[in-house]
Amino acid sequence: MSSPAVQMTPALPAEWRDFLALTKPRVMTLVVFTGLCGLLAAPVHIHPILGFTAILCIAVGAGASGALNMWYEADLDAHMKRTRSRPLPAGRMDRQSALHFGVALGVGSVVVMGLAINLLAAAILAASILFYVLVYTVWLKRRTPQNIVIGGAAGAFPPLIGWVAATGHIDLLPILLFLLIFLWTPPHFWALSLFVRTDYAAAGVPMLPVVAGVRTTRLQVMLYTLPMAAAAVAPWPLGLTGAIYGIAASLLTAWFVVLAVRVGMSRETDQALMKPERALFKFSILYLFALFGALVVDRLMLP
Amino acid sequence: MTPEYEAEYRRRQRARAKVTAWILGALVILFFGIAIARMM
Repeated sequence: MSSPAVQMTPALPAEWRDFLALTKPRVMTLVVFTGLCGLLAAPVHIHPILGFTAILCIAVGAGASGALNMWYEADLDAHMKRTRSRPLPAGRMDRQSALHFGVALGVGSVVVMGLAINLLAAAILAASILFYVLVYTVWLKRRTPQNIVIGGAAGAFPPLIGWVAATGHIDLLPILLFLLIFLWTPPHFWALSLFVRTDYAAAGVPMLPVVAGVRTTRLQVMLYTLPMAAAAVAPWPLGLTGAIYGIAASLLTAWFVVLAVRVGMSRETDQALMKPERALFKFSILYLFALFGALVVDRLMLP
Repeated sequence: MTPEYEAEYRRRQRARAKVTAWILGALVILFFGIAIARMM
C-alpha cells in the first residue's frame, strides 16, 4: 500500500526520448527505406517537398503503430528480456500518455497524407495502421502461431503507399513488392523467434516455435522462402524492372535460400548455439535493404 | 515534493516544451512548403 507522502507526489512526466522510443525508430528505418524506394521506383516525378511529406507521413504512421502496439502490449513486454526496458514496462511513462501519443500520430499522419498527397495513399496508410494495431496486435498475436504471417502484411504496406503517393494508383510492381515483404516476414521473424523462443514462451505469446516446436518452425522457414524468392525475382522476367534489379535479386535471393536451407537442416536445440538462425535473421534485414536499393538504382538507370 | 524532485520535474517539462516547439515550427515550415508545391 502506498504511503500518503507518496500519493502527494505527482508522477514525473515522461522524457521526450521515451516518446521517441515508443515509435520504434529502428523498425521505422526499414519502413522509411522501403516507402522511399516505392516512391522513387514509381515512373512519375513527384515534387521533392511532396515526396518528403509522403515519406514523413509513412514514418509517423509507422511510429503511431509502434506506440499503440507498446501501449497494448505493456504487460507482455514486461516479461521479455528484449522488451522489458521499453518506457511502459520500465515505468517511465503512463499508459494513457502512450495511447494519446499513438492516436495523435496516427490521425495526424493520415490527415496530412490525405490533404497534401492523395486520398488513396491516406486510405492505405490508415488501413496499414489499423491492420497492425487491431488485426495483428489486438487480435492475432496472442491467439495464433500464424500471427506474424498475417501480421506481416502490415509491414508490407510502405512501398505500396510510396508508389501510390507518387502515381495516385496501384500497379503490378508495388503489389509484387507488397507480396515480397509479406512473404519475407515469416522466415525473418521465425528465425528470430527460434533463438529467443524461451522469451516468447515466458510471455505467453504463441509463436510457432513455442506452439509447434523447433523442427516445424525450421520447415516453415524453408517453405515460406520459396514463394518469397519467386516474388523477389518475378519483376525481372515480367519486364517490370531491368537487369540490375534482376541480377541483384537473383544473387541475394539465392544466398537467402542457402541460409534458409541451413536453418532447415539444423538440429541444434540450444538457443545460444543457433548460428544458422542468427545468420538468417541478420541477413534477412540486409537482404531487404539491398533488394530495394537495387530496385531504385535499376529504375534510375532506365532510359 | 523535495527540491531535487521539483527541479527534475521542471527540467523534463522544459525539455518536452522545447521539443514540442521545434516540431510545431518545423510543421509550419512544412505546411508552407506543401502549399507552395501544390500551387506549382
